[in-house]
Amino acid sequence: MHGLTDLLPTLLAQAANQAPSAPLPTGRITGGWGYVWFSYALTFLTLAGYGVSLWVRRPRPTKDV
Amino acid sequence: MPGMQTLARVLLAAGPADAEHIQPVTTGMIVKYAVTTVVGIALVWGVIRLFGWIEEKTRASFGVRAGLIGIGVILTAVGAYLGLFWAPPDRMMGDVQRIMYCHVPLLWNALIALCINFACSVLYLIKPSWKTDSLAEAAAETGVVMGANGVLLGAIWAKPTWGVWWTWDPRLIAAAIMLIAYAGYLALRRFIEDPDRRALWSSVVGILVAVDLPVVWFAVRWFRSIHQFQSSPSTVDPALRVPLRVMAFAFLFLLMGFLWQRYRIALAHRKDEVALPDALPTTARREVTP
Repeated sequence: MHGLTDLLPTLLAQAANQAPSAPLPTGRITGGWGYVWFSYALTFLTLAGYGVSLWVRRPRPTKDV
Repeated sequence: MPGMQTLARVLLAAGPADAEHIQPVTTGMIVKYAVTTVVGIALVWGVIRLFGWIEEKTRASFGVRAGLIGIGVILTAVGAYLGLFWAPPDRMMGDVQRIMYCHVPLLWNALIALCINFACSVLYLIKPSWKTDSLAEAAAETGVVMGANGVLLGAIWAKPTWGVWWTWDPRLIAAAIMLIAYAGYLALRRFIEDPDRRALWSSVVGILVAVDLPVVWFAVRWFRSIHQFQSSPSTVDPALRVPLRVMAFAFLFLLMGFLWQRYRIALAHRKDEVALPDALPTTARREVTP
């Protein structure tokens, strides 16, 4: 029994040493072009839509009935 | 003024900004901003006179408006190209940082429009005029459109960088209050039928809600905020500065074109309203300069 308790930490240490080390995160965000395209499209559509709404609402001379 | 900083610390559970980032409120600063406000109001008065002169004395109104919007569209296309393909990715945020080239100029121009609304509100109380009232309405609407767009882009940018679409950060709260307040201002204008009373009440509200504008600008310095501080040319790489400036001027030209067109719509409505005196309450009618 005593031998088993000595063996367990040794096996765990060996397993930890053999495990492939995961690459450390760099902290840099990669990708994300979807967010960028969506943002630009949203901006252009909003400004174009507002421009169209101003054109539709433009003052026109009133017609006599 | 240490009192202002203490008040700022008490107001938000977010706590104070780090000591080295607190912008001290000094007497010189108050004088500087007071002078800037007065000069800004005088400038808006001059712009209103210029709009009026071009509208009444020349035939160039449509050409000038189309020219402003045309320059804005061309500069937007150039700025978008520079922001999407020419500028390098940010060292830490990578490509999602390119959202900045739309997000920041939109909010800069929204703040300009809402400052014009404040100036018009003050001017209307000093000297009532349909032109001032119309420009105030135009500035509020254009400011809300650009401001809402800018805040939405901020939420989209926040997702990949902060991990959330929205967080209760002082800068974000101030921006949300700004949008809600000016949406309320526009709603108020719709609810009041008498143009005289509408102009007077909305001028008072325009001054009250403008209190939030400096809070939006300084929130990142007054409070501990996840939002970054205002950058300066000395802290930004030139490769990132160029598209930002091009987009800022692009949206400024669009803002001027939109403002002018919206101003004409509002002024035409005022003229229609005052041309129908029987349909309006007579008790509140008083002379205002057209």
